[in-house]
Amino acid sequence: MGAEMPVLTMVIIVVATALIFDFTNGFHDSANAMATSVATGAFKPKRAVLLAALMNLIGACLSTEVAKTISSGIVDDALVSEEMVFAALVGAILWNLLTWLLGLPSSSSHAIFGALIGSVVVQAGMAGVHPSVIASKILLPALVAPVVAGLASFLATKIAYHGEHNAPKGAKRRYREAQRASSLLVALAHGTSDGQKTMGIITLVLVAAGYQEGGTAPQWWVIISAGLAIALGTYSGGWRIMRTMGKGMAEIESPQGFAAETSSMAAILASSHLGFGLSTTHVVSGAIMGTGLARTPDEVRWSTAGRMLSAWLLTLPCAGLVGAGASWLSHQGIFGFVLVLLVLIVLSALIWTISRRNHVSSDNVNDTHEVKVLAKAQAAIAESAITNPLASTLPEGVTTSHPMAATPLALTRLRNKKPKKKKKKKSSVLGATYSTEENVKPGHRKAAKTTAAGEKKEA
Amino acid sequence: MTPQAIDWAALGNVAIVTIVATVIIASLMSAANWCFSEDGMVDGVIPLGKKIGGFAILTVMGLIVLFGIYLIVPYFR
Repeated sequence: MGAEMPVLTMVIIVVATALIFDFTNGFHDSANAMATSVATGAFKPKRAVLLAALMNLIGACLSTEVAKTISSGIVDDALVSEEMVFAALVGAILWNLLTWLLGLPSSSSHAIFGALIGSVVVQAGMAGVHPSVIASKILLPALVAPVVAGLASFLATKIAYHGEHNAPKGAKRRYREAQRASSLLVALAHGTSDGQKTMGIITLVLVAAGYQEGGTAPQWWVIISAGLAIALGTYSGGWRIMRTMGKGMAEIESPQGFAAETSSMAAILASSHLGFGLSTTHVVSGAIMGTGLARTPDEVRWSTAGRMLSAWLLTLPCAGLVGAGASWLSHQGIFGFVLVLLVLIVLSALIWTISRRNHVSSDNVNDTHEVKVLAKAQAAIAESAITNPLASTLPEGVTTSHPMAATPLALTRLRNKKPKKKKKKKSSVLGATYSTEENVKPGHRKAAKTTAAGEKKEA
Repeated sequence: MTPQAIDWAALGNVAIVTIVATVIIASLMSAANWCFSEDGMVDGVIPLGKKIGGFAILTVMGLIVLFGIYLIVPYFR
């Protein structure tokens, strides 16, 4: 074993890593509260994440009860060291980033638990892990949560639509307003539960390093920093996951959004107060699936559901493997510890760089249901345009390869775009060439095509 | 894993409470929606009885929201 790192340095690094995990937890879970509201238009995207961030911050600061154990009995906390916590955080962060890149909602709690299990097994052996608790607190809830929430959401949707396909007249507006309240409650509940997770981790590290007495409450800077970290993560949006949850499984309307959020809220509160913890991510995903089944069963995207289920099943083993690897390396001494840190930084940067190829933001989160990773953005748009029902009504001269023709929403924006007065400009965007002329009504632009000779020709 | 490690009673309670609570809230919202809907309007005005019923239901739903906040915020318990 190599040289040991000074305790203070290790504590600082671990605390910083914990806050980074809290940030990833924030953007990973922001979709839980706001995905349906953004999809149905109850909130504009930016306003949704701002409100969710505020609710998370308030919830995190209101939560004074720190988790008695960071692992809920899954591992023997007496054996957990700062190194193991660091390795677990690295594993959880990388899994969160990977699933974010793929646009797959997965449980951050399960990620940290899985990474911690791997980390403990490497350094303390199987004796440090309690398999029965893993089954009862991770595996079974992962199976039960989506089923319970999905069933509740299914029934609520049937009630909202009175068994019909279309909502009663005027209902969508009223349900949209009700959605705002329900989504804010979900965000508040998320803040109170997930906010204390990182506070507990940081406090445990401080106690283990001798900087705080055992059994004392988190220090004020721990509460504020953890609250801010999760709030900032929430505000950053996690738009890739937001798109999957809001549109990836099924196209939903505001009554469905209300049904999904109500069932999620009921499941979260029931589970936290009746002694059987359920993951918020699993609950909300199941609820959205349930409401999709209730109204448009033929249009539910089972491929997306299958990918999500795969991500849930792989969370524990994959995060565990990364946690185990990080734990082994960091246990080799200061160089191993630094190597783990470098790997975390490099892989995080790589994932972020790959995500920029098909950037999902607040501006385009509702434009399509797919989250592309490696395909070119144009190909994704062209593929989406093939099934675009409005493709036959495109303005003259604008072909389906035009990026603005990708989706109904984008087409509506294109049509409603006010013509610029006294400006004659020729634009060429990805194969479509057209010119704007003054006093042209929206949706009735006269197309102008440029011939090989460069002469304009009226279409 | 032993069956005793799983709290089946708590699991059942969570499932039942979730479904019942959701159905109740969804029913209230549906009823409120009916009260304020355009169906049954007289000369473009919602009948007084429906309006009173609608606001009563909204009040109950507001109380449910407050109860939810009470359950969420640890300070209140």
